[in-house]
Amino acid sequence: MSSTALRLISISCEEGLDGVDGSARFSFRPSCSALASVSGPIAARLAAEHPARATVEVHVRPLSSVPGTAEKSRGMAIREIVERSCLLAQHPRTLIQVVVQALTNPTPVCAVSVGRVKKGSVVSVEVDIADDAVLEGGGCFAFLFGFALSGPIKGSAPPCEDVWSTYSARLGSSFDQAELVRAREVAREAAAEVWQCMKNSIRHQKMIGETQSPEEVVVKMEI
Amino acid sequence: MSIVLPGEQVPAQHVNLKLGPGLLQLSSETQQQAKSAPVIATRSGVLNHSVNKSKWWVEGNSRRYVPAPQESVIGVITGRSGEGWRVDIGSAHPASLDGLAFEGATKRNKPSLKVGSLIYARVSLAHKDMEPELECFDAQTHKADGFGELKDGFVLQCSLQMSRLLLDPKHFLLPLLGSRFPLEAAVGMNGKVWISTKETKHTIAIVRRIEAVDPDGGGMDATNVKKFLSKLDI
Repeated sequence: MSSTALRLISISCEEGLDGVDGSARFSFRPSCSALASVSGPIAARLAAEHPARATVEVHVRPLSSVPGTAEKSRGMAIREIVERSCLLAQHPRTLIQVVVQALTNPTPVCAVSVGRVKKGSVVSVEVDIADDAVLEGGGCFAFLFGFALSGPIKGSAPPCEDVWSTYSARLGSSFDQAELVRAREVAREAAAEVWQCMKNSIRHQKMIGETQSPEEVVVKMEI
Repeated sequence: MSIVLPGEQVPAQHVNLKLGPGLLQLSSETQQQAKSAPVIATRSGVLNHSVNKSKWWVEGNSRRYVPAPQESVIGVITGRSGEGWRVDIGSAHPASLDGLAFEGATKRNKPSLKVGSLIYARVSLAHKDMEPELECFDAQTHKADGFGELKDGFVLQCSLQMSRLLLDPKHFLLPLLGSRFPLEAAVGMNGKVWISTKETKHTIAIVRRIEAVDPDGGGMDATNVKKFLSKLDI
């Protein structure tokens, strides 16, 4: 079973939302985008304070209606990813609040790092929703890019290792270890492309005087 | 000038290496020499270094202030706590300012600060596990040197990189504005700028220009600022 999907990634860190300390917009296609904001380190509630590290709170909001269990589970997944990738020990007893707002329906699960102090950049790649019907299995992988990590190097990105994954087969089919390894390698290459795209978007933001060209990266994914 | 993302390695090697904000040296027990321990960036921004490559830092922008010692900040008194005051400097925890931390203050002669008044102070203690502490005098001379209460005026919020630019004596904005009308300004490293002028329209002009030149809000350059000022009725 194999299907290829082309993606146009566009990342913009120039949102400049008021009232928060950082924000960014991420989209796989115009029909699949999300906006994330981060605030912190700010004062934490006494009950939520941790004496040795910062507490991370993630809120995921869908395009319409109130957040439900699906959003809560995505928020927990993103929180686990963020906790593993940030240097939380530098800001004990504070709170880092991340809010992800879906801008389209269906809600994408894209984890984009928007904060200012982190140890590595986290990227996760999603399988195309439109191909949902034909896929017999799928999932997400999240990779952390950082120098000190053991992991293969793809392109110009620093070595990455995967920190989180959900990969499952649908009813009536199963997958073996070889397939999981293959899926992870595909996701790893795609994540490296997204990392490069993030870096280019920051470069455009910092060097305003240079000529801007729309950043679009075409990523092929094969499952 | 190269852009770095968090987690990337930085080629910083020197005998007397000094790492500025945004860089972290990874401790390695397996390495035999400490000076070859790798240095990684923890912020995204432009990587800079001094001419002889002994000082390295990452120039990035952010809005949230994290207190660091010996930085001048503008704070708002939010309450009393024992002998001193509780001050909000925009960090995660409120700072404490002792009642005797002023020039010439004694137990009988303390400054009368009210809740809501503004002060320009220096961060004397900033540790990640403790509340930051402020002082209103210079560390060596124990003279006020500009620190203390700020009366009247207007406080505006800007990004941290903007406040660093305003503190740079070579930046164009404050001298340009000062050449058109008299103004008094105090810049805090916590992203707060206090301005005092004789007329409200001057204050509004300064606020609009600082917001425009702010890298977060567009980063206007000198020629455009001059054009704007010439259109104003001041």
